[in-house]
Amino acid sequence: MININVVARIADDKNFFLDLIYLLHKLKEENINDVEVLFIGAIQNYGIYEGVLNMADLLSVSSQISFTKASIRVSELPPDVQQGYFLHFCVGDFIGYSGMESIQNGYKNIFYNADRKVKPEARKHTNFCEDINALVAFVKRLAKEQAIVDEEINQNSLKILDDFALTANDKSTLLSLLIPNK
Amino acid sequence: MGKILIVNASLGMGGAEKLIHEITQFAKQNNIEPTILILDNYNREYYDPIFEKENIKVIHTRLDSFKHFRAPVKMFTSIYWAIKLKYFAEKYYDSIHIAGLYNVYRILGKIEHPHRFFWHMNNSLQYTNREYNFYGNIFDNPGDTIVCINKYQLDELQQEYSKVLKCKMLLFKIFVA
Repeated sequence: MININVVARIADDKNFFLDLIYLLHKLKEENINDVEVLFIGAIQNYGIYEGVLNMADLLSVSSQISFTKASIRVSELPPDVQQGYFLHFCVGDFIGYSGMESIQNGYKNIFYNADRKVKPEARKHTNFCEDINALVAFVKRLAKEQAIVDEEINQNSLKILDDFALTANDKSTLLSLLIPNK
Repeated sequence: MGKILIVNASLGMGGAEKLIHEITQFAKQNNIEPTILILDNYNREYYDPIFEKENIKVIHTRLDSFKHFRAPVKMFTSIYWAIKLKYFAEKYYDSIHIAGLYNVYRILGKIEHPHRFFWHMNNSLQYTNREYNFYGNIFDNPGDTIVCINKYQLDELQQEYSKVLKCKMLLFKIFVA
């Protein structure tokens, strides 16, 4: 079983949830049914929530999705959930703090560019999926060779963490923003 | 010792709040004293106890709608901060940092300072029809600086607000101090 966790409020500023339903549908077409998606977060927009449920019903993947319906700190999730894969929505190459913190916490992460209008240029990690087709291909590969992919995820995580470190040049720029008259 | 003021409307578990935390850590490492001003929200949230433990000053207040007679301490705190930031911000702080362009309207005309930095925390993808809903007047002041945290934001702002963008823009990545 592959458990994919999505940590996000069900809200209109993060409305990429249908992409995950499409993912389950594409996998189902290829007889890959042992994938489940858990949406972790409060439901702030019931229209979006209902839309996700309806689409899952239409595509016969309802049994593969579930919702916590409340915000829960990742560290307080049950251990079996913490051992799953955490999917983070990205914009092009940009990974936000949730992805970084998830790496720091030692979780297995999948990064997915949710913006169809931009193409990532810098991220070439196998667990960085540039579009929905790449995400489908990645999870298919995960279903086939999980141990190898897990190892790749581990190695890539360290490289991604490096991007958040401040270089000497960054430090100098940041200081000039904090104390402009120095 | 330098001093900075960071303004937001929440200390919940979010990206903007994490950035605020990292800015405060970097500031302390460099002998700069950060103060956090949370506007229009008196709730105690995720980062409140964290900042408390780190001895970082957090003020929950408002800069308008002062009438709060049932809570006179809150009312006088509001008046104190409103006067301090409108007329004396430059005397007390080296720079002012607003987390999120969506919060800038809260300080326009209320916090006057030659070095105001507006950290842009979203992408247009998160808005209906990929259009930001910020008022154009937040970009009016050539002395202000918008700090974009990814390259896409620069293009998005240029595309949508090119006619009214008068402030400076720069790119600076999110980071761990």
